[in-house]
Amino acid sequence: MTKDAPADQALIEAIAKLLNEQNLAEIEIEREDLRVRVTRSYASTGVQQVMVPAAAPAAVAAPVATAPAGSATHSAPSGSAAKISAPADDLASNPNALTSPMVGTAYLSPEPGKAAFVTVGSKVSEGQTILIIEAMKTMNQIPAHKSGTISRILVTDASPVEYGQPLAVID
Amino acid sequence: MFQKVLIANRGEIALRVLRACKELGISTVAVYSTADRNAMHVRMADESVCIGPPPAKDSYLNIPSIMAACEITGADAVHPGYGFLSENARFARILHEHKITFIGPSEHHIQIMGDKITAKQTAVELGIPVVPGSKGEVKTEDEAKTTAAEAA
Repeated sequence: MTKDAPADQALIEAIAKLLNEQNLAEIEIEREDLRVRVTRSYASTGVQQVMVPAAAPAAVAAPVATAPAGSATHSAPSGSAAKISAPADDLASNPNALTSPMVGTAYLSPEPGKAAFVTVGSKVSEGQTILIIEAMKTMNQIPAHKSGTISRILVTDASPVEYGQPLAVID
Repeated sequence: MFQKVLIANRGEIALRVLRACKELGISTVAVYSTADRNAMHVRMADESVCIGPPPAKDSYLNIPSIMAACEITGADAVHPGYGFLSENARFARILHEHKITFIGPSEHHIQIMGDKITAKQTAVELGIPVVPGSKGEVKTEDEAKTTAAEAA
């Protein structure tokens, strides 16, 4: 790799150019002592992860021209439950947002079929139960962190929540 | 074969398990503390669950959080990696009781081999030769000298 370093760089640049010109996502070239893989990610495709097996001698993996890889979203090829952390991250810094203190399943009413603890527009006082989070069969009442009016409820009944996830906004 | 494995670890350990799962076509769940929100193991996993704040005792060592993460994602097995809960007999037992496979030794084996002194006693009882040394904690200086003399 060392003796051919300038040549390698020229090769990568040429591939990168080709990649952009042809609007391709990935080009991989393998020769006797060299393997080069150049990939490009699109803003819409979210996270781009390249796993190059360590076996390749002089594997030069150079993600060239990387578009902003969809910030902190989690890729979910299986399309199943990764929605857990989907709700807006900007709420994380909002002091009015009540965040989950634990991992579990959120319930909006005290019992199935009963009325919800609060709805949008409800006036609440600090310490009042907003919802329940069930973890390992234990029902944990989640209190309002401040007094105010519920402006948004960010989880649906019986949905999974993770630590730090915004649950509701109290304005 | 498992359908979905929850990886109760972080960093390169979690990545190693993730790659193995991908090769085998098993879905993966990463768990993370708020400090690791943008970590590689979180981005690579099929699903991820934030289980707590930065201190390990509140996240990666927090058994209720990890159990809840298993519950909401429907994982049928947990790989503990190494360190953290990998040699925690109680964790192995709880998973077993919840019919989730602990990818590691049984509760019983962790109990007899996880602790170094118990492991040595077990080996001695089974007649397996062990390196000479104290039979447990050395409490006094005299005891240390006697033990050292016997071992020499």
